[in-house]
Amino acid sequence: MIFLFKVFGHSMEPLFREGDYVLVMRLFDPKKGDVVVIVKNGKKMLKRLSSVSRNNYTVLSDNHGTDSLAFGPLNRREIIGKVIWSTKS
Amino acid sequence: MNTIAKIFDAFGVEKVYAHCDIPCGIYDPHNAQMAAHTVIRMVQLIQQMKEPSSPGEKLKFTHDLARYTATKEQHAELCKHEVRILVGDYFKPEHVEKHPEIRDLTMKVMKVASKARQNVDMQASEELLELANQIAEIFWQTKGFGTVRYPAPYPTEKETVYPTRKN
Repeated sequence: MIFLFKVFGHSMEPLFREGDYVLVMRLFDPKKGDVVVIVKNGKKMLKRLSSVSRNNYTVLSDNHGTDSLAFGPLNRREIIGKVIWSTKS
Repeated sequence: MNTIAKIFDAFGVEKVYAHCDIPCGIYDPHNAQMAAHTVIRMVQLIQQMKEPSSPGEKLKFTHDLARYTATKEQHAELCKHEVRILVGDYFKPEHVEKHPEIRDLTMKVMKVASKARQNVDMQASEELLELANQIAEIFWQTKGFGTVRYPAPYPTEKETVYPTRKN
């Protein structure tokens, strides 16, 4: 499945800025370095995968932001998909 | 705004948050350390309380115990909150790479602060301060400052990390 989102916030700058659009594909093998959309506590967030280990996925922000350092590792179901395309606002 | 973005805007696309608070750039571990000091002080005050021997003393005893406990609760949670802000909003991936102990220290703060809330436990309270001190040392290193430890000028008199001149 493919999803389209609009970026809100600054934690993935400079690569993704507020107002940019990202196209996200669900079916993929998450790899370290991929930019992904996750869902945590009901909120969808844009982060970068920093480590993958069995069913534990750690995500970090490229800039300052809330990530696995605050909410811990994720499981695969909490990763909606990988960013495969983006356009600037 | 490019044409594609304008088209997407017309469809009201769902937001994904790359959320960052402001960012103000103002971070300091001092609040976490002071919160831990307060937890220690509340445990000291609770342990110093004398059993009441009259109805009047019992009322004051109950009142004071309630206040000390509530303050201990609030400041143990405040310590957790301040550490979450430092770890979630300040420390970058390169800081964590250089100081991988940040992850472990953060987990320990969460667990030990909870223990300090749930019990009248001086050991847990002092451990909370030590964890906050260790996070403070890392924080100041990332800023290029040195650190020094000396007893705080509060009734707790516990060793506290302070920044020194920039390196």
